[in-house]
Parts: sequence; C-alpha cells; structure tokens
Amino acid sequence: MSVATTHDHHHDHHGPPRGWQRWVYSTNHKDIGTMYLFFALFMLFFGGAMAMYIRAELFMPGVQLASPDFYNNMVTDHALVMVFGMVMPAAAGMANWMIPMMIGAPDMALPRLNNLSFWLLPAAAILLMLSIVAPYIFPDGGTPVNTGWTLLPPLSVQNGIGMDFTIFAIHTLGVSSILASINIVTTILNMRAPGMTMMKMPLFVWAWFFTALLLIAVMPVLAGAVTMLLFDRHFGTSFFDAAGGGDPILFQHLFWFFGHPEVYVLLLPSIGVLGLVIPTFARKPLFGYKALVYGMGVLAALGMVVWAHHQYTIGMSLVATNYFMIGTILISIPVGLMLMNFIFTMWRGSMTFETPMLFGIAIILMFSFAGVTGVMLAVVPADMQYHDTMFVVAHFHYALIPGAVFGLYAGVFYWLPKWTGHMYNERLGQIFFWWTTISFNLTFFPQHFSGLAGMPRRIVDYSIQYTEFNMISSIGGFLFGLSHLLFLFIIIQTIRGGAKAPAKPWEGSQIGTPGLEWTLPSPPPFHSFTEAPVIK
Amino acid sequence: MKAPDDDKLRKANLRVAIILGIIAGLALLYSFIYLPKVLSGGVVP
Repeated sequence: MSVATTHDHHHDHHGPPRGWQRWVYSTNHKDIGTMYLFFALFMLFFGGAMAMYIRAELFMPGVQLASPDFYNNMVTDHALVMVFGMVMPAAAGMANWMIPMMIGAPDMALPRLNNLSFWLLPAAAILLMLSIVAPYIFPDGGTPVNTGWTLLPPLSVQNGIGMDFTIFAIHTLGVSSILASINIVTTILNMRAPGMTMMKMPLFVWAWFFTALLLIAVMPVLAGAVTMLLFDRHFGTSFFDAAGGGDPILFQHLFWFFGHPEVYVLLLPSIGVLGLVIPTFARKPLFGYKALVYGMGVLAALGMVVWAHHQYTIGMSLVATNYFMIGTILISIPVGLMLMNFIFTMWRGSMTFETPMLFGIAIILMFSFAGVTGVMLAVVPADMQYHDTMFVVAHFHYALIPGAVFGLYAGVFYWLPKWTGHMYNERLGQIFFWWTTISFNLTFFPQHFSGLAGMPRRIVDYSIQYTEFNMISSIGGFLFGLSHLLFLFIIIQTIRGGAKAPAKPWEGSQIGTPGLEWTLPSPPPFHSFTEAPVIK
Repeated sequence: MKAPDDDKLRKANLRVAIILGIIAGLALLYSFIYLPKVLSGGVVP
C-alpha cells in the first residue's frame, strides 16, 4: 500500500508557462510525454497513408499508380516512419508520462535532455520527408530511396540524394533515442521514491529499463553502419564495396546487429503495458512477477546475439547457421514464459472486458501466432523457402501490430482517463477494438498464403494467381486504415470532455500495478510529487 | 525528499548519464573496429 501527498495548490506560481513557450521550452515530463504521443499520432497517419498507397497499388496485378521506384520508396519509408517515428516515440511518450509517476519521482532525471530528445524528432521527421521529395526537386537527384528499411548496399550506395537525407534522419533519430534512453535508465536508477525498490517497480518500468539498455547498446551500431555508408557514398571509402576490398555482407551484419534487438525495443514496452492491463482487469496480482522481470532480461540478452537469422541465405558457415538457428528458437522460452504468466494471471480472475483488456487478450492470441511463424522462419531449410516472400511480411506484421501497436492502444485506453481526467467512450473503444482486430487479420492473414505460394515482397507487380489474396489484403488494409479515424475521434472526444475520471479509474487499478500513479488525481497536477510519497 | 534541484542527486544523475554515454560511445566504436574484424574472419565464411 502506498500513500502520496501532492500539493499543486501550493505551487500555482510554478504552474505551466502559457502559450508556445510551455511546449518548446518544456522540461516537464508530462508535457514532453504529451508531445511525444501527439508526434507519434501524426506519424501514424503519415506512415499509414504510405501503407494505403501500397495496398492500393497491390490491389491488382500490374503497375497501377506510380513507378516501381516510388513503390519501393514508400515501402522503405513506411517502415522507417512506423518504427522510428510512430512506435518508438509513442512508447517513449508513455514512458515519459508514467515512469516518474509510477516510481514517485518529481520528474525525469535530466529534464533539459528530455526536451532535446523530443525536439530532435520533428527535425528527423522533416529530414525523412525531404528524403522522399529530394530526388524530384534536386537536379540529378537520382533514384528515390528504394532499398527497404534495411538500406542494403550496393543499392543504397547507388541511390540518389534521398539516401543522404535518410542517413541524416537516422543519425538524428538515433541521437534522440540514445539520449532518451540514458535519461530513462538514470531516472529509474536514481529517482525512485524511498521504499520503491527495484523489485517493487511496475512491470512497465522494468520493460522500459531493458528497452533503454538495449537501445544504448545497439543504436550506436546502426549509427556507425550508416556513417560508413555515407563515407562509401561520398568519401571514397569501400567498407561495403567488394571492388575496393570491402564486403556488402558486413553491412547486413551491422544492420541486423541493431535490427533484431530493435524488434524487442518495439515489443518490450507493450509487454510492460500488458503486465499492468491483465492484472487490473483480471483483478488478480500479476502471476510470476519476478519470472517476468528475469524473462524480459533474458529476452533482451538473447535478442542481441541472434541477429543473423535474418541472413540465412547469404551462405554462412554451418556452425554459424546452426548457432543462429538454435539461439533464435531459444527465444521462444522467455516469450512463452511471459505469455503463460499472463494467462495464469487471468486464470480464475474476476475478469471484465474493457477496451484495454480486449487488446491485451488479442495480443496474447495474435502475438502467439507470430511466435509460431517465427519458429518456422528460424528453421534454416524452411527459411530458405520463405525468405523474401510475403510470408515474412505477414509474420512481422503479426509480431509488430499485435505485439507493439496493440500494446500501445491498450496503454492509450488504460491511461487516457489518468492523462485527461475524463473517461473515454467505452462503446466506441470496443467498436474500435473489433474493427481494428478484424480488419488487421483480413489484411495480413492472406499474406501467409500468398507468401507460401511464392509471392515475393518489395516488388510492385505480381503474377495473377496471387490476385484474390491481394484483393482481400487491400480491402482489409483500407478498413484497418479507416478505423484509425475512429481512434482519433475517441482521443479528441476524451480530451474535450466526458465523465470525470477518479484517481483510480479502474476497479483493479491498485491490483494491476503497485506503482504510485494512482495516488495522484486524474489528471495529475503539473508538478506530480512535490513531497515525498510514503511507501509502506 | 529527492528533488531535481538537489545538488547531490544532480551529480549522481550526471554520473550515471556519463557512464551510459560512454557505453553508447563504445558501442559506436565496436561497430567501426571490432565487429568488422570479427565478422570478416569469423562468422562470415
């Protein structure tokens, strides 16, 4: 049981500055969290618009709307925007909002660094947008960035000026992520209220602790790799140029050394949200809290040493191939442990099915499905057949949409009452859940079949035997895209008004998380804790 | 109460941040120096 004292009435003179200065100069974790979340929402629609174009193009065989290079440019930027511009900032927004409140800290450890971490993001987004238009507006702009998000040489060395903008965007995003991660780890280690020991922290805080450590370890490797790419493009080096004694395969290793842990960077915060939502709505304490914490640690560690399972087809030695295969299959152990713990938490609980819980259950079901296709892809001889087909696209969308994005939706609906002080419209929330879940499956389930039948990914055209699967996928995709207008409506409606939310908006709030956020009113005052919370 | 203007806490925060920054710097060097060397003679046949 914990008790906290807040006294916003004592600090009216320290209230938020007015106008634009409140946001541009902000060092307040909640304001910066809000900016992260709105930025992510904007990028969701930006990246989503690219997805709509991709599905429109693939609705029928043949080249329908634009050139193949433009199609591949959209495939590339859809991935970069969704990974770096949407999922990571949304998760960082939740971390900013919730971690200090959960651990009883007055703010993040390094508030000005926090401001910088956020404001680097719009700059990176502008660079990314410029990378799309640059080939058309600069004379001799070259081909658009058509490599896919992996930016593999030699194609990325041959791409036009758009690739330079992409490289600088990745540098900027990387700096932002590293600074934010340093801030989060420092906050968790140094800013916990007295009595809030590490093993008392809510699972979401632990999830972000491992996420931030992963980011600090792997993001610089990507920065290094794209810097080498920049040198190869402009300064005559040949890190990745076989003609100069370099090796394009080296870039693959460097990219996936970052890229595979990045998958866990996207997944872990959502697993953290799940660790709050499931016990709250099952009204039972989390089953196996310590096992979940250790499981996340093992997942993060294993995630760093299995990267080359993305590259089975490059012709590695048998020993290396076996190592990466076995290591990858081992990952199913901590993941299975987590999912089983969530199921055991629900077992004989007094469950209710509000929107966050519906998303929580959907994550367990659909992410497990991605786990099954993941084990299929981990097996080398099978992967030789599946590699670079739509089966892989189906697999990672099942991993990342339920695994990461649905976790963020669950978090948004779980915390909207805390953030805004208003309850969202539960009926609309449930409609949104069913709409997204059904349309998501309609979009990506058929891609397993088109992939197994041999349809390659990242190609604008396809043989006519894949038409039906693609038409179903596109219809599902349009419905999935449309559902997000309802998401936007629910958010705006909740911000503008609605039933007043109490400090503990959910009956099982305090069961769900042992954190201190529920001791604060909804919405919390501008300065959360100005006196020490007492944790008994 | 630990407060953000507490000088001791500020120094402790800075210390942790610098250590983490050094780890990030080492990771950057690792991509330039160590990983290419290992991979060119190790994992890559």
